[in-house]
Amino acid sequence: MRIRPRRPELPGNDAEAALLRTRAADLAHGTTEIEPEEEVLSAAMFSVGEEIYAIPLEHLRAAIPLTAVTPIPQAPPHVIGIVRFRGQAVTVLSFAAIFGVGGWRVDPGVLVVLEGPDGRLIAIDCEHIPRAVTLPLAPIAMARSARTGAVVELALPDIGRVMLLDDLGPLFGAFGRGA
Amino acid sequence: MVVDPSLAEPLALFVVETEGYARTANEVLLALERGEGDLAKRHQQLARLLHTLKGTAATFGLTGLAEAAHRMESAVDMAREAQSPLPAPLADALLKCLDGFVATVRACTAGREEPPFPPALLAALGSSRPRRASIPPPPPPTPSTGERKPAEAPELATWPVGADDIAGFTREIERLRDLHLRIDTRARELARILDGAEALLAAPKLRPLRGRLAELRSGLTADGEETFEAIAALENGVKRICTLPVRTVLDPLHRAVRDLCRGAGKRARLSIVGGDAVLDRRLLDALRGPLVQLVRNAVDHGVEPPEVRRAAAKDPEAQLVITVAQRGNLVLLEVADDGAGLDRAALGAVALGSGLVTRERLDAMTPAEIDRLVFYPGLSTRAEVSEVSGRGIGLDVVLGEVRNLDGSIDVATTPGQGTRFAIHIPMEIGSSWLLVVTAATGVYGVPLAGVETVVAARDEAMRVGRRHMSLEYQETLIPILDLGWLLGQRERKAPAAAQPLLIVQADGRRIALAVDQIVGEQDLVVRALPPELRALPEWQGAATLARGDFLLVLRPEWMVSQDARAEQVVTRRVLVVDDSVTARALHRSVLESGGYTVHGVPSGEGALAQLADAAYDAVISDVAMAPGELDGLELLARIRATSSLAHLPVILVSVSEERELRTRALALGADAYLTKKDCASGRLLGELAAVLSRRRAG
Repeated sequence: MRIRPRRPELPGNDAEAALLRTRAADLAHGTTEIEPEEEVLSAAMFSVGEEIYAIPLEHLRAAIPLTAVTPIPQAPPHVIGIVRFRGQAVTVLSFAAIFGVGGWRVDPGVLVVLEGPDGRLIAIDCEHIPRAVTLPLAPIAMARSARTGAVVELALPDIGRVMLLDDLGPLFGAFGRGA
Repeated sequence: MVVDPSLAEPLALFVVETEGYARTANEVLLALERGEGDLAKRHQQLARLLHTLKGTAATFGLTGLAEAAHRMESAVDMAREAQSPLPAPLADALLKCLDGFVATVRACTAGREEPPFPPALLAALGSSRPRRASIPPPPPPTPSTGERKPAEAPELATWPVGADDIAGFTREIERLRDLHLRIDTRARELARILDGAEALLAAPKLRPLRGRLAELRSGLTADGEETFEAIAALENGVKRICTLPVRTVLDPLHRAVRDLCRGAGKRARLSIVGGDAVLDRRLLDALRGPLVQLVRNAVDHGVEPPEVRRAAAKDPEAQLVITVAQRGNLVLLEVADDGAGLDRAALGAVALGSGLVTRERLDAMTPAEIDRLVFYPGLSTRAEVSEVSGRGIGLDVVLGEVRNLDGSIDVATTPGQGTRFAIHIPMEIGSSWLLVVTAATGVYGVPLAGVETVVAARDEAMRVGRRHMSLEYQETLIPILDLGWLLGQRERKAPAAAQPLLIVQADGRRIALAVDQIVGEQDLVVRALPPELRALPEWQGAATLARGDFLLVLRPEWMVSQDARAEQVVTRRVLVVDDSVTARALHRSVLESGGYTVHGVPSGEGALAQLADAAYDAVISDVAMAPGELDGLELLARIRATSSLAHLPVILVSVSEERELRTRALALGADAYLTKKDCASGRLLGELAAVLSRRRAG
């Protein structure tokens, strides 16, 4: 049996292919909104109900369809279950339950796998695949100096209110407590 | 002489080989000293081992080591020629020389001078070499039974494998498993498409295409099966590399017992039961120290001198027994001796004198609590410190090392008769036979080692009361516990006639576990849950099924401990119906924060089954469900059409904001309709409270 290295799966139709080409070109040439010398933070942005959250891209390992999550009876309510990721069991957490977010637009159908500082992996549920964005560092630095918790609240001109999860501690330390 | 700098890597392999040869040589020497087995064969084996060590050392230019091996060979010449047992002083000297050989090899570094072999060891070898007259005569030959002895299998070459290699193999196996899952999924998808297009492909022009597609489907299925077999073979191979028989760690303890007894003037024989059990090498390495300490402790403290044993009408040779057993993913190691037992009075006195306990506390302690004082640091009943004991350090270190392995250790003693230490350690690698069962909406594994038998529920054998249910089993009454109830998925209910009851036993207790169905038995590799979830007492771990799904494995010790579980304080019960596992988790989180007991089901049919068995105060159901399943509106209609459920409060929840859907839901009898966007914590709880309040008032 010969095993070939995996290749990225190509889009199934022309419209998707065109969209990906456009996005690739944008990334290659950069956006026009950010000044060349402005420092930015790459982040993954997603909505939860009415709120928009962002997580630094460096922590993101994968976004996978929410399939085959095995619920764990008697686990705390913010634990959805475990999922298989690259051969290992990864804990799946309810982002909304941990951060006390109310309401959702669609049932979360995506799992975002995050890696913590010690190499631990966890997955959080999302309503959709997060969008890769760049956030200007200046307002982030200002907000960090005023923050009291793991979340930094930003007011960005084109996007609006964004909650930047600057510290993944609450996610990795979510056990033993609920929302 | 300087070791060639280019030999760094081969030298590392030589260290590993030498350690292996020395372990074997130790066993052979002990057998030759005891005069056990075929002495001619043992001498030949020893000669071959020493010769190999000599030759390999010479190849590396390690002339000092080669000379030491040569001197060891010469020392046994006489006994080998006579095919006789080795005298004890010679065996002593050879064993110490072997230890020195291994230590010197380990100290060798490529590019540096060869370390000198300790001359004192060689001198002892020379002085212990017996004169011909002192060599005991060989034992009389045993008459031939006429049986042909099997030919000796040739020794195979070995390759050392590092931990990084194993991690790499394991990752590749998991990649292959994912590949197998993709092949399997695509094969099933192709089968679905072919079935769906059967009518289209029936046209005569398309028959060749249909035939080709059918071949592709068969081929893909066969590839999936072959991949699965290859994965299983690789996994077994890695398991064989990663695990060793426990005997590899236990056999060297024969030497330890022998040396300790010689030093203390005592006699003891070590027996090993269950030494063929196979465990993770890392676990064996970690257990080596504690086992040595327990054996040393047994000889030094437990075993009496021969004359004392004779006076007590005991065999002058004490018996030490190490027992290894595997129970699911737990390994049990016991070290037992038939010595004097723990001196509780002395233990108590030392603990009191050192300020560890007060007089009042000591007087209140049970014998078992006094026995556990041996694990306290600094506690020793020895007046003098010896090489072996007296500092009170050993057993507290054992306790610490066992706890580092997430294990536990117990001690039991009978004065005058002996002491037993029992270590329980969970294993990470190893497969277990599991009984796969269903309960409520889940499928679970129960370690077969914890299942005594399975019986079918019979009315005449059950005693069902208001708070407790019992089964008459082997002339005793044992509690009946429903697995669905234990896992918080439904209310407690009496087993139906012929419902399977698993007699689960652990920690000396038994329960009858009621499950919905027994799926079958499987031998699966059970791995620990992610670190965040390992503290959950219910779960031993999770096994991976053929399709990549997880099978949660229950812990028998937890199940039997639930027999005294108090009836929960009655709270209002809500049934959540939603095919989305994340939505069910969100609803549960919100509702439990409001003090409700929540059960969740993924389908309308499941909800109706649950409602038929238990009473709920309200139902919260999604409108959209999986294709082919009852949707929320249909479920609502069925509830309203059932006389016993007609007045049950039902709240429908949906992602849709269409007014028409809301109108339809309310017309069908929904008490409230919320969009999921509205399901902020306060809103849902507020709406539910309002509905319940209206129902009560109505």
